[in-house]
Amino acid sequence: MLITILNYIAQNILLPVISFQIPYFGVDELEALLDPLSSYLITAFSGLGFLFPILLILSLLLVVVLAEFGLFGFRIIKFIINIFRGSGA
Amino acid sequence: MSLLNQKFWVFFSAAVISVVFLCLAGPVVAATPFQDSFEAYLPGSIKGQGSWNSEYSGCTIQTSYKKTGAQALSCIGNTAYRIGPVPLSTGTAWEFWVYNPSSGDHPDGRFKLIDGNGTTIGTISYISSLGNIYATNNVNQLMGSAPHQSWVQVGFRWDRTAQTVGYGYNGVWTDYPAPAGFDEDVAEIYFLEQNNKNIIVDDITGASITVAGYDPIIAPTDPLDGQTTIQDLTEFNITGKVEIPTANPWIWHDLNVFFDKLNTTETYHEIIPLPDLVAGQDYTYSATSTLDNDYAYSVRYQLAGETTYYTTAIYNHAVANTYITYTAPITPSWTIAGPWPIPELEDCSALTGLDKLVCDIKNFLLGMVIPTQAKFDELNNTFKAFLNVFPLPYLRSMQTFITTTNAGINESSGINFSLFGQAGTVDFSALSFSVAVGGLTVDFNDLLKYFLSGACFAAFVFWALNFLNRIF
Repeated sequence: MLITILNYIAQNILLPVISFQIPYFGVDELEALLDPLSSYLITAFSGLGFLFPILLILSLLLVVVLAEFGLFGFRIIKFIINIFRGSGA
Repeated sequence: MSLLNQKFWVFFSAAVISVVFLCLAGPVVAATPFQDSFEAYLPGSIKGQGSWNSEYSGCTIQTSYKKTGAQALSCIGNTAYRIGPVPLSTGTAWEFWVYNPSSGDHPDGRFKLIDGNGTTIGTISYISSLGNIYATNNVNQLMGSAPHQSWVQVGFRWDRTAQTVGYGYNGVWTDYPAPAGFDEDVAEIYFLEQNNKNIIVDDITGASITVAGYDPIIAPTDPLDGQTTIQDLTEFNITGKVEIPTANPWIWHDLNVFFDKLNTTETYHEIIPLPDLVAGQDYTYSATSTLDNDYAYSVRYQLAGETTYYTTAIYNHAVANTYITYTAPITPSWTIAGPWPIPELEDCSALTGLDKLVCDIKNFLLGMVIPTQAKFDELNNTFKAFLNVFPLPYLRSMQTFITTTNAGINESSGINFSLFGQAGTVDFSALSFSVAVGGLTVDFNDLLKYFLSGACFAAFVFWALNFLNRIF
């Protein structure tokens, strides 16, 4: 019974509601940006990979980008909520 | 905004703007079935022109009679011409125009759809003496009239999903069950004129049949549905076709192929990107995967896509009992264990009286909380569907970006360059000498890498502290 309810909620409420991707910036758009960026970085760092920890730099850069975007999104939500609360932006 | 953040956003904005101008990717275009207007050929025998072949030379390119353009194919006598091999996709329809130029002669034409071995899939009989065209499907089925000096459009269509062969007459199609025993992957069109009269053929058009219906169609060719494939699993192919019927409203992005390791709880997952398939489109997929040869695997397929409201759409391919293994199975059947063994209810049939009543009550109470294996498997599949919802596809793309970039970077010690027409190399190999640090012997370039890694970490910690400070 419980597992049926859980399954129903997941299949009919959660999955249909959770977006597969962000409107107007789907995975394809992201990959269309990342593919040439990857080629660009490969060209730029080939040769320097002998001296520089490229994987580490890229990984840290990714963490920075994700975190900054996350914070940016959080602040937008907070900004909108504050407007509706009437406490000023 | 701090100076560090300003620099970061300037760098990121510049990077985004620069790549926007680079990302001009073309759309995926599906292969078009064979078509021919006969306009590109030289007058005379068609033998050896284009994809055409013949046994004799009785079929020629002529300019007197044509449906469109300047010329058409004319066949006289007991000659046969064919095209091919043309792969039969799941749905393919060919149509062509035929014409009897004489008011008195009665050419008998046979138009056939045959496989690569010569086995007939379908026959259209153009019999002017009877004034009719027949679909020869075991017996002659009347398609329509065959008037003199008038163009008639006939055609074949093959629907692999429905296993039917269709016959077309002036755009009207009639489907019959397909004959058995022909090679479904290769087909040719074959024109045969049987009584030394002139018959004209022009404007062969080919088109894919759009499959009607709602549920997507996954048609694996390797590994085959419902079969056990024995092969080397260290590198094996995953091939097949995905079709989206005309009534399906969603966009389909990925084909997920799951390999459940038998008698364990482990599952391997291969994601095959699709070119954003929508209703009426199909895609032939091909990928290579690697598994451990020491195990057998159950194979299942799932399509992942999105609805028009940007929410997730999932379709599970229903065919079960598809296995792959390196060696033949020792036991006659496999059992697929769930993530935990589901406890079974007690058998009360042998009990009587109060014992049976207590047993039944206990089973009733337990039955309310113990899930069945099928229910649990359903929940397990539902959870796996969450792998395709935001933000996991984005993270996978990022991961692919990093691994691709890292794998593509050349770590050799030289940088080639060309300046004023002179080629040269900046060689860092001089930095690759051994040094002793703290009793350890390391390459100097590695030492430099370690130092830069430490510097990167230090910068990252500095940023992270600043980031946390901004949050709180």
